[in-house]
Amino acid sequence: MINLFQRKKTSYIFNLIALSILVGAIGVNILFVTTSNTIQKINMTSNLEYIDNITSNISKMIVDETSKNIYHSLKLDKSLRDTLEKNLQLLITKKYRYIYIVDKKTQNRKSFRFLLDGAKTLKDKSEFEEEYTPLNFNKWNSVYRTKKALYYEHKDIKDLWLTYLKPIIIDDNVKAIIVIDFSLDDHKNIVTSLDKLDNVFDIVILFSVFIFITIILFAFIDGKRIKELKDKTQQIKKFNETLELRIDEEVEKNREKDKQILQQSRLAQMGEMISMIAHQWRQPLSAIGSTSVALNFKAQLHKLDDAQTIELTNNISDYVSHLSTTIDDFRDFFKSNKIKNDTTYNEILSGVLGIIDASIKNRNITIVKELQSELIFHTYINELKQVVLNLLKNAEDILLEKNIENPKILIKTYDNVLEISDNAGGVPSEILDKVFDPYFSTKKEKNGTGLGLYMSKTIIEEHCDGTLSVHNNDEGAVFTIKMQTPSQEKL
Amino acid sequence: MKTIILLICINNLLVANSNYELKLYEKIFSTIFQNIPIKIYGDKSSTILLKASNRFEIRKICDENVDLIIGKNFTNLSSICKKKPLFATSYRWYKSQKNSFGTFYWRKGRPQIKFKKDSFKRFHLHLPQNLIKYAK
Repeated sequence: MINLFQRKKTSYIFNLIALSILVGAIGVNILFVTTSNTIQKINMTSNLEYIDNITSNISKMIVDETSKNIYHSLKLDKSLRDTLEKNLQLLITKKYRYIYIVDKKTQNRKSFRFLLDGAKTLKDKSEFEEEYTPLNFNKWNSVYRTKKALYYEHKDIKDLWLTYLKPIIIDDNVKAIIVIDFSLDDHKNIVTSLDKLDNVFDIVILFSVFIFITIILFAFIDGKRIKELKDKTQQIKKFNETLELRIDEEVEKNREKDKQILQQSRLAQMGEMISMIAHQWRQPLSAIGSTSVALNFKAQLHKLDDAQTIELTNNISDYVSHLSTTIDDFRDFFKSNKIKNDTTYNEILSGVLGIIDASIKNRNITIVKELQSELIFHTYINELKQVVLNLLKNAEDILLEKNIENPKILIKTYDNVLEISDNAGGVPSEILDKVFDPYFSTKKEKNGTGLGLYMSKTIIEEHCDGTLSVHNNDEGAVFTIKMQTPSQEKL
Repeated sequence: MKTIILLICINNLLVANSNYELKLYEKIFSTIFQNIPIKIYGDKSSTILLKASNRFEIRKICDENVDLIIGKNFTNLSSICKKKPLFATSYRWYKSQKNSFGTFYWRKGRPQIKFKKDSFKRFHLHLPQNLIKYAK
């Protein structure tokens, strides 16, 4: 949320910067235009002030040198014309291209005539009385009417910038006009410099607009991205809310599944247990049967005395007691013990073999024991016994299924390791990593549930803090249990 | 209409493009002289300008067939030539030559065009309406 707020704030700052750049650029441009106009205006004003002084002097000079009728004075005195023209020539500079004096022959004429010309070259020089028609005749003519000086800028004459017209007034009448044409060259320097500056500002403006648009675009895209991020965050939040429910549901399902697996496992174990009880009971029941037959037979022949009766019934009683003990052993074996106790592999194997030994031997399977471990470890004894029993039962089943000649189960202990191996050829390599998966079974004749090894691994690794693994040796499969040693347990 | 075209031509002349100066000559001479191409004898600068137009036929010799002489500096004009109408390209030539009927030149950066009414009459030339205001 803070992150989003910061992003939004950043976006605002970006927009503000973009706007500032644009406004700044426009402001600078306006300032430039204003300054440019001011410079040109100042330039114009100073030029006009200066030229006004010059033309006033010229006017005074001409009035002083001529009579009231300038035209007649000049017409009659050529040397005066030459003198005055030489004076005008002195004023011709790079800035003032043409300086000359004209008048109107008659008021109604649509042209002027040259009186004096300050041109230095013959090519530029006009003749006295030469008729002259300026392009802006009306402006020139207005000087006669208004009796005031005026100026105008040229757009239609390529070398001239400005023309200044100053009337020569005698007795309140305009007798002639002093004309000064300003050269464009001098003015062009200022204009060109300002134009260059204007071009630079145009580029700056364009660049600013580009930056403005870029930043606005960036801010827009970023804003869109933030909105998407916000939406996605909202979606994730909603998903997380539903995820907890879904996880709870899945955990409940798994629990249910585990219960079912456990139930199935128990049923399978029960079947096996009944089979094992049957093997254990077979001999005592047979003995009870034969004792009972002997007792019956001797009673019919009236050869049964008290001593024999007591002996035979005692035998029967011993056999029944043995059966009862067997039942108790099985009941204790499958009783779940919630407390860990100290034990050894020898103790575990003794208990397990007491139950299954008869069944295995009845199948003509040889049990080879190489028991070297005397290690005492702390674990759930009955659960470990169930695992060992399951491994032995599996070995028995596979040996019978494959009808192995000289079937053999090797039980080996050393250090914290218990290995149970057989000579049934081993587990195919392609299924070696699947044997501990739930519902995975290779048993054909007997309907395997596929839960025995899964439950065994779960018991060893999750309850008893040990490991259960499988590999093949030259003869068959080797199941290895590694229990934690006391030193490991402390860690 | 012709006046407007002429004014446009004069205005365009202000950009000192010789092409427009040529067009101005075409307009003026086409309205004064009816026979096209107009046979012209001129000085060097005028010849260079006018030979670009197919309305004019530039003559190397000033003889009877010449309709018009144009220029501002002729040293030796034949007697026949001196009787031909002259269009001057300078004020001095225009003023000094009796056979000049008109002129076009630049003065103080401004174009000047002038015609002599008397010369028009003398050479039996037609002064178009749109040029009367330039005639004295």
